[in-house]
Amino acid sequence: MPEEIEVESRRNKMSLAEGSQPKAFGTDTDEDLLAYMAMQGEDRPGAEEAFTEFYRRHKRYLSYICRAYQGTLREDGVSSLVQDTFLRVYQKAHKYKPNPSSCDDSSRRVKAWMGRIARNIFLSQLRHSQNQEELPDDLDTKEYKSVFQRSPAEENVPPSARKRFFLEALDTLSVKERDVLVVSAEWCRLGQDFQRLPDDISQELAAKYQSTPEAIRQTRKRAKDKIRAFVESRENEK
Amino acid sequence: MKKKPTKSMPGSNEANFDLELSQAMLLKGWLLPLTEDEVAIAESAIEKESVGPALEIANPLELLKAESEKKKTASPRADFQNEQVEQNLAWAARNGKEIPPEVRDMMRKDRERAETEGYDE
Repeated sequence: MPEEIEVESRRNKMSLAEGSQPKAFGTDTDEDLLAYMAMQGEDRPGAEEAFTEFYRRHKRYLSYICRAYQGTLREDGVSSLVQDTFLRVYQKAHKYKPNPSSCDDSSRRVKAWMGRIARNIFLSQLRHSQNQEELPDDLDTKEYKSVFQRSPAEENVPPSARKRFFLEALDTLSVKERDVLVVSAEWCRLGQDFQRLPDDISQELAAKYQSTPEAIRQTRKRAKDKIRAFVESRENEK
Repeated sequence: MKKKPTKSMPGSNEANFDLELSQAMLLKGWLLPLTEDEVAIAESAIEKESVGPALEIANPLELLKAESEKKKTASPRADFQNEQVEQNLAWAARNGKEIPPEVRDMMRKDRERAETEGYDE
């Protein structure tokens, strides 16, 4: 069977690499590494070597993106999130489903999956501290509508003036306003666009800021009003 | 009376504003990239910006080891202190048949020995 041949050839490759550095995986794609990790039940040393290589490739990227939650988690919380995400990648490698039609770049596909895992861990932690149910397990594999759709050619194009005003407006927010906005934006991306901040999440934020859920909702509204006013005033200056 | 057509829908304006806000937050690194397009944005930000230090673990396998240790210590041990529950389970495992007295005696001795050894550890 082709699948067995595939597994066998991977094993051979791993046994050739025995005793050597994880460089043996240098030419493998990220999706290949996940396939090796998914075989942890049959070949643990191979899976662990693949994990080591995966960690080496993505530690910088994951550390960068997880800083999005720095306001809520603090520095040590961000480190824990990075570690938990790597762990979950290893544990859930068998659940990763390549989807070649969506994008030619398998590395970006894997990074997007990793981002979903990190986001779900973060939101689950918030819910957990309020004794709420865990988030459903299939959110890592759910299709998300991108807030940004760019062609590769556009990647290096500088943002338009209006986008720049938005970026400047974000700099004017307080730590609390930023925190509330980040958490609520992640929550809204779960599929129900622009919904009201769920009670358990606003309660968690309220506990953190020694405030009330209603005050947290007001903070969110105030932050958005502040950004809107900033952007409008900059546009009127033009 | 005929309703006057509205020029713009406030809901849709709000939706557009939220979308623009999400885009700006993503560019700023305040949102996690969840799709390939968003990953591309984050990658270009990482290239341009001076990104802080990455999480450094000398041996990433320690992560896996620590997790498996945690599982071992956290795995709940079946609590069969309740004699009745234990008897019912044993009975079910034997498909409802009675245990002969000599087997019952052997089981009792085995259990006593196991419990004594357990305390010695």
